[in-house]
Amino acid sequence: MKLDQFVLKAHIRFQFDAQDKTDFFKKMVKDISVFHEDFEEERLLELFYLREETMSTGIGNGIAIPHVMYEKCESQEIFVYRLAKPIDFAALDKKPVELIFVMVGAPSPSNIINLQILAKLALMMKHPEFLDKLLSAESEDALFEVLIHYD
Amino acid sequence: MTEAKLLVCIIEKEERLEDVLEALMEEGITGASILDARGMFEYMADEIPLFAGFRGLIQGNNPTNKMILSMVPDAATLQIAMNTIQSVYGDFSLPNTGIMFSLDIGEARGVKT
Repeated sequence: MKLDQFVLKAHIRFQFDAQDKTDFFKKMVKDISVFHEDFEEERLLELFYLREETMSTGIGNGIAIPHVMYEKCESQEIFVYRLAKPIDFAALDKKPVELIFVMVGAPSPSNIINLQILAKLALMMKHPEFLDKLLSAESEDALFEVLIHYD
Repeated sequence: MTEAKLLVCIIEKEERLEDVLEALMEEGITGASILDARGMFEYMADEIPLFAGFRGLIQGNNPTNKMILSMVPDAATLQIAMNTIQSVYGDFSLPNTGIMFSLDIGEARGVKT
């Protein structure tokens, strides 16, 4: 599974401003909706909140991977947010989160592609070198290049 | 290589295990080990937080399955065992039922007759 088919350079945000987790989700949903006129922000926000209620998607080491299956999404898309300052995300290791990978996927009976993407992201995040380079990237372009290089 | 076969049967409807074992016993198949098993998807949804959101998508909501391992002496007995299980348990081709297959046994020690 290669991620380059799901993440575009235009989907990467550097120095994204969010005061807290709720603020991040509101701003992120608005940001994503710019790419899709038919997306309903309220519905999308509700889906993200529902997922976070199950368990935080803050997987540790400053990373979160919120994800939803949204009926108006026709494929799978990944958005990357490097925050201007870390925020509390109720992460598993309780550390603040500073890099967020958002996945919005088309629902399907098996959800196989959605699962494959999440598994790939989770595996990539276990690579210390990749993580270091991601967190030290200083622009959208640099983030994108690291992501594609390690894909 | 012996004539013996290993029957591997994973059933998702745990409540049917008793019926399956009784039916096997009735056919004279008296040796089997019963193991608790979890499907990969169930395990990931329950144990790996990133996949917790997929828990609700798992049909049947059965946290564990049962695995029956039985070494039978030959192909004829294997056929009896598989047919017996299917007649009691139902069609394995349906979703959320389980899987049944057999393996040839190369060598065996400790077999009690």
